[in-house]
Amino acid sequence: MSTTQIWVAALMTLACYSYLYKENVFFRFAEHTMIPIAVAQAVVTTYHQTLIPYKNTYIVKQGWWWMWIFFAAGVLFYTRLLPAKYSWLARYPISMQVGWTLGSYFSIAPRPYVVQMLDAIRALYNPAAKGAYLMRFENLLFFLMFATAMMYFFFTIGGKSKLVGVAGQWGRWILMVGFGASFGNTVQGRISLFLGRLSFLLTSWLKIKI
Amino acid sequence: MERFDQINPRVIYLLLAVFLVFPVLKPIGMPISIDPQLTQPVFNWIEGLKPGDIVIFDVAYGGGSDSELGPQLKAWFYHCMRKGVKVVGVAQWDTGAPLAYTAVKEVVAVLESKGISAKEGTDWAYVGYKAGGATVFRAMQDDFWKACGNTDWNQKNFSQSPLLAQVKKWDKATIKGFICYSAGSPGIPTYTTYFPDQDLYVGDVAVQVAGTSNLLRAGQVKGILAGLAGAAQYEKLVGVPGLGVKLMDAQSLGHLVVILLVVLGNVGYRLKMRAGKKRAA
Repeated sequence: MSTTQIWVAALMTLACYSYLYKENVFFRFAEHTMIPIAVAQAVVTTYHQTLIPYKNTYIVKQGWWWMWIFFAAGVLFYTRLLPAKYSWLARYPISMQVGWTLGSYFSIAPRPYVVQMLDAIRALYNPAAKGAYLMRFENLLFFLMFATAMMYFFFTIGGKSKLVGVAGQWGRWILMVGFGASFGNTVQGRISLFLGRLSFLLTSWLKIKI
Repeated sequence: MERFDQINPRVIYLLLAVFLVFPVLKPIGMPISIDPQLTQPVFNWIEGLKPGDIVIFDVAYGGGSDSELGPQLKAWFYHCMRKGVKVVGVAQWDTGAPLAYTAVKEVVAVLESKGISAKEGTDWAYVGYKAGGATVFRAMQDDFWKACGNTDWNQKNFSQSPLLAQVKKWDKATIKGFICYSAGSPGIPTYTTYFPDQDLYVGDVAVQVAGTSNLLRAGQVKGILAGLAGAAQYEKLVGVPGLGVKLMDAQSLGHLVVILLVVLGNVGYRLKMRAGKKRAA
């Protein structure tokens, strides 16, 4: 990065962190600058990395001139920004995209989840396995935690059945343990983000060796 | 003591900042242990490959996650080049594509200073971001060149790259595994959905690790680099300490501060509840 780029990045970083004290104009400026830059970067990248190469590969070399129809459909997305007299045109590409995505997801999206559902079915007793005792305990524990956590979501039966109700309460505690683990990882992630910016400010901006 | 649950957030931020900045400037040298279930399998994967084997890394993160995933990518890429493993890079996120390229170029400079070959086009190639989401990646599986428009990140034709000449499609015979550096969607599901028979490893942000662990247990993912800690562990395994190792002391102290504040907050809450009951009685 050039010196100017480093200074801009450093000042923007400090402007973002100034929000921790209170809302201020520097934070607003950084926030409002970042969003259009991100959009502009996406548009430029898509143009150079996808549109032009695809045009050369499919339309020019292979002669698939009908690809221009899909290009025109994609451009219709931007009619959302026009007055109401023309903005309804955007509904055509939106409906095409939603329909295609739904069809694709319904046909293929369940696949990775089925693998996990199958993994959830574990042997509670397998005398042939090495460390059979340990595996039995681990799988038994998994089964109990899985079952009680699922029972937490039986909102209709829980009120009528004492077993489901009590098991659901245990399941709530187990869910909370899981959320606590996620929270711990989240804290780690957020601290890492700050450390990344800190290392940039110290090494690239202030030239302090760490 | 009752006021511990009402500490001014600015005080907390200041306390956290002090405990994070100090160990960065003056490292303590806390030991780093290698996770045998998460990090070690990723290292073993590259270590078990032969020179000339081709692997693919996918950039599915943006600037907000570069702090965690950038050091992971650098350490892993260094390991690949040292082993002679060839690397092809793609990106599902447009915002992360230039970040990953910059990170790889930094490692290339270090490698070349040590006399390790890391020639773009021969030892590694970077295709970058191609718009179209999972559809494009599904197309890459059948015809990599066509799906990418025969153009890499630097607008060069694929035919100019000796490495990319060997990668016509993403099948098990050609590709010896994927690693997806993921911070969200699109990311890992692209591979678990369309490439279930390929070996998939994940460089994950810490926030997602709890969810990705399910995939590890189910065998859909073979190994995980978990956040900045994963980067530090991998750097230790490769023997080249980098940013991950340098920031681990601060990471640990930051966690200690958060734990202390959570405990203090709960103590203050309990004392306040007790005092309220006494007054009511």
